[in-house]
Amino acid sequence: MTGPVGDPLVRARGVALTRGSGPAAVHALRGVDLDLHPGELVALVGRSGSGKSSLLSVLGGLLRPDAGEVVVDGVDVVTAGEDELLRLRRDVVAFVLQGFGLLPLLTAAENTGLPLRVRGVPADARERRVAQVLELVGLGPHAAQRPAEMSGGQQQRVAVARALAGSPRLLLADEPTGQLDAETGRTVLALIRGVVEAEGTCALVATHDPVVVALADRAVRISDGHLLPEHPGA
Amino acid sequence: MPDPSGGLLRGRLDGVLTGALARARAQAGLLATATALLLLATTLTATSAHLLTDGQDAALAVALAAAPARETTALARLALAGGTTGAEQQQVLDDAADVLASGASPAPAQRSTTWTSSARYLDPAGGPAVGAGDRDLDSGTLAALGSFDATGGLALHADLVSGRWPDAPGGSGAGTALEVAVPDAATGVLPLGATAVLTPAPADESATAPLTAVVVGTYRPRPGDLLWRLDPLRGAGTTTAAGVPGTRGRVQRPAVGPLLVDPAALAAPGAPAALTAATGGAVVVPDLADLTPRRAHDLLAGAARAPAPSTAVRDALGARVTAASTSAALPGLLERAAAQQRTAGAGLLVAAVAGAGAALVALAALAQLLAARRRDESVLLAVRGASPRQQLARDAAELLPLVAVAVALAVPLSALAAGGLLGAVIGAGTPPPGGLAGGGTALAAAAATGTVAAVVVLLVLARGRAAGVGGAAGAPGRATRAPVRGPLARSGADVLLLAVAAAAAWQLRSDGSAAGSSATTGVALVAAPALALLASALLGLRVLGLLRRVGERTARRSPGVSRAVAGWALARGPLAGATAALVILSAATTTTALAWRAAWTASTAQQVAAAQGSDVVVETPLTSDDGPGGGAGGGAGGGAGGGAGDGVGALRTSAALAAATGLAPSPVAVLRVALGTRSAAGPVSLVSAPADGARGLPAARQLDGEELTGPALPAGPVRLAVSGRGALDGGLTTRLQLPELQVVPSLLVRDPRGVLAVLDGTPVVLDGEAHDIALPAPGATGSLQVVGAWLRVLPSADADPDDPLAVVEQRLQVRLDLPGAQAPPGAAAGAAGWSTTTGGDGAEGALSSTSVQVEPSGAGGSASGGPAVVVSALVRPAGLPQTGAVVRAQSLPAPRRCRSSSPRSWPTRWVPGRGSRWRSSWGSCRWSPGSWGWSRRCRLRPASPRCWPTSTPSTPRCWPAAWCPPPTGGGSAPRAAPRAAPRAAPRAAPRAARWTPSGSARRSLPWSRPGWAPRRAWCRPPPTRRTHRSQRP
Repeated sequence: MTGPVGDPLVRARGVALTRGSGPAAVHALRGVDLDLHPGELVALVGRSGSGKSSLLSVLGGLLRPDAGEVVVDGVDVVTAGEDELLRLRRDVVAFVLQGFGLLPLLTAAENTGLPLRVRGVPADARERRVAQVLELVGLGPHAAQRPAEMSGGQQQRVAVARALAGSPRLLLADEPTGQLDAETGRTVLALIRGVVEAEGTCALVATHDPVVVALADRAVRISDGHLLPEHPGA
Repeated sequence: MPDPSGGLLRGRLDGVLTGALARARAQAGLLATATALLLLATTLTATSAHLLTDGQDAALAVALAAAPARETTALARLALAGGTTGAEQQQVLDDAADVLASGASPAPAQRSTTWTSSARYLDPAGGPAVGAGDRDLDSGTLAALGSFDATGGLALHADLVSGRWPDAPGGSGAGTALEVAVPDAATGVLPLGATAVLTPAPADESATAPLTAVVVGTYRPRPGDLLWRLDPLRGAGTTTAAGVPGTRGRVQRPAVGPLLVDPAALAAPGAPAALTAATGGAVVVPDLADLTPRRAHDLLAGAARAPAPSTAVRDALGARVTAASTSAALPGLLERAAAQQRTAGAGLLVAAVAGAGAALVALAALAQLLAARRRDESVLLAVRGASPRQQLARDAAELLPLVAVAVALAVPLSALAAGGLLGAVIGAGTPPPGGLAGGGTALAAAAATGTVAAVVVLLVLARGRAAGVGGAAGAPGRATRAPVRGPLARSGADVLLLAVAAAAAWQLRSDGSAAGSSATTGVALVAAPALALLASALLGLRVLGLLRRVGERTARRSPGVSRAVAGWALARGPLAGATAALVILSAATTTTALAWRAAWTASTAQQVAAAQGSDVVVETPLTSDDGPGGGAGGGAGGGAGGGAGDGVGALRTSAALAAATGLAPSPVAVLRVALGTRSAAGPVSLVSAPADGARGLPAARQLDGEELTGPALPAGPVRLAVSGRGALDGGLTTRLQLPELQVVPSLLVRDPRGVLAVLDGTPVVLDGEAHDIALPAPGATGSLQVVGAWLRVLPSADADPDDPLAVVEQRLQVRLDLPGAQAPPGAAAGAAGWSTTTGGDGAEGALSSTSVQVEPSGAGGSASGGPAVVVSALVRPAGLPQTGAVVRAQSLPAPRRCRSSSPRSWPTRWVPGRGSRWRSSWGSCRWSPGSWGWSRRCRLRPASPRCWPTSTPSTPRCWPAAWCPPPTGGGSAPRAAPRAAPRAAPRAAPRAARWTPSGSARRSLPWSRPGWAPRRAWCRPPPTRRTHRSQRP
């Protein structure tokens, strides 16, 4: 496996984040330095409460760090305005959540097309892209089903398809296999892996699943808000 | 040998019970919460049931018990037919009392009857015996008029001051003379102490047997006793100015009375003739103090079905009385109570529905809680092979003791709660609803049971939902999509429920019990709105389907997220919430509509009353000023004859007015004939009559959009220049002077609201000169338009009947100049839009060949420069009655009644047909409160093609049934008949159909207007004169 080349898509330096205040203040991130490059699948490994979700939120523009520098696709998350962050989240970043985050009343296709609706993509282009992505995740025949009518793995694949529908440059996944069995989890990870390789997407997957670590290009370990020295993946 | 199957069953039962008990012990807190919630819900619904049924009856009973006697008393004043014995007359009075008491059934009632002779002169002993009609006041022997009065239960209505109560002739202690008791106040007018002897004057000169009365005691009427309302002197005992019989009130004398006699004297064989040919009365005072709610309900329901008291009295007494005037306050009180019940019931229903909704939510939460806590158990049972039915049976068995506890406690608790609420709202003394009727209790129990059934259903639904989502089926959890929604919406159950609800509502309405409730109607009373709400909710499912399709389409077409998600939420959201929302929405809408309707009704009446300013009143002649047997000459009816005849005429007038207006006549001084719309099927809406002589006509005539061809009067006082002279017709000339005639001009004016009024002028001699007269203020606002000119032609004051010229017909031309008035724009001289009619009592043939010309700007050479109305008529002076004849020239279009295909249909409006023809339509006009006049939104409902014009009416107009204008060209007035008998009018109907002005106005009017008919009238071809006369009182 070759190492990262070119300018990083994500560049974080000395990122610190504190949640709460006073005696209850928790230092979620402490001086985190991290570079992510396009076409790279990175596993973010750590225990619960180690700061994985906080780091993902900072990199995704959901939270502003207290200190440090975060640049995503040329956008300084620390100093960017709300509109710029909104554009960043809409056009550059995509999330895959542990709990799927699907709207129960909508079908798989409709859930998948939501990011495109947010962007205002015309209906025809939207439907073509949705069909393409659903075929990519292997859910073409299930496009008209609602989440309640699908299995957990299928729902997670729908969530991945929804994340990929907008062709994001940065895919942030928070425990995407946490509610899946091992086989299904591997399927989802393989899907993400394939998308990363096929579309050059940069993916940061927070997990404590060794399978994910094995599939990643590299793994970064986080503990108590500190990013530990990296070691290459399998 | 033991039955193995029985043992197995017992074993299973033991297992179930053991498991249930163990679970109950483990979940004691949960079960306690469930029991509390059940108790709360059942108590809430049962209390609502109580309040909607027994509670309203209890409130009604309390309201009736608190009503003062004047609001419950019924009185009847009767003119007894002559030629009957005293016993028969007493029977008439008793029958009248029975009829009045039946209106208060089943409440007990105190009945009193009184009989009053006609007034006659009273001569203390020693006075000269003189006739009734030629008394010399200066002789000092004629002190006063007086009448005898036989009243049952004297001690109940008066206190004995001195002496004793009179006995019947021949009774114990009584001699041959008629014993009387005189009012204490009368002893100051006449020397009427104990043992004084009176010799009343005979009723007429033919009376041969003088009557001698001896005073045995004096009495004092009890203050506030309603019986004395029937006394001409109102219990005062004396008056200084009572009309002498036969003088129509022009001659007045002091009067005392009544001279009370024993009722047995009336019934005794050979009773003096002076005690006959009299009037009588009955007073019934219902005892509503101890009325039970059930009886209150029965009273209300009975009152809704009972005929009007006046009608009942007339029907019961028939020809035994010549006139009857009835006043019953209880129906009005009950009507107000019913309206109040409807209003309160609507509000209560709102609270009940809201409470039921809250209870439903609480029960749903309870069901979800139970289902969630027992989800694992349900899954386990399902895995072990328990069917849903078995689980339901298990749940029901567990709920049974909870239900029993809840219902057992809810019934008494609801009674207590309802009693407490009623007591807090309507005050102390409220009967406990729990002891009112079994119907309420049964209803409360039914409501509680229904609540429990709702719990079971909710529990099943909740359990099914809990098991369906990741439940026993395991991971896939493929939930199905509302399998019952579609079939339910398409099953037609909603329509069926709606039909049932409509049938229940119709049954309530036809039973006349909508305002109240009882054990028999209580269930329907509650079930009808509940079914209606349920049906509405189910009907809403159909609408919901449409809405869902719209939402789906909107979501698919929307490029954005917000509208798309909202559309999908609408299209695919759970139906349970929507159904509940629909139920609540339906309940809120329905109850709001009910409350709004009740409030609207009351508000309409109040606004009409406020808009009228003051009610038009008609004074009956039986006032204290007129004295006993006083004349009716100044009264509304103008009854014929004197003495008792005046009273009879007045009574007839009172009854006739009552029949015409649908209101209860009153023997008291003032009879109200305009009360707004609340108590009448249509608005009476008589405008107030100004004191200066302007007469108000029945208003509410809408002539929107129609330009009447009449001059517009200037602001300020109305003046009129009258000129005219008679001449031989046909261009003939004579050197002899024709007898001069007089006319009394009147202008018919209309204000911008469409209200008509007549402005009466003063008599003017037609001597060829112009006479300026001032007309009374019309009492209207805005500019006035002259739409008619009425002339009453009178013979000359000094006309000689033997003058040969009096038989010569002459052409009379009267010119009415309107100084300062403005003619309509573009108006030209002529009679366009104007027509003439003639009328007047006894004036047939006196006027003929009438015509009218309207000159826009004084073309006739008037100095006023304003428009003028020129009326011409061929007059036969010898045929003119002393009261004159009337020629009416007016621009009002005349309606023509079409023949009805249905005998029960009524023309409530007239619409213009082609040209000047008018045709009737069928429908109703709605009163529009807040504005004077009629709403333009009339519901046209043509029912008879024969009556519908072939050409579309350009401007439909409402002519209320309250007003029938006279026809043009017909030569006589239309006749009106009460609604109850359209084709066979009762005897007094034509007279009743006349609107008669108040007494003061009547005195200022030279004639009556037979062309104006009151409400509930229909216009028919003119009657024959003979019939018309025969029906005059």
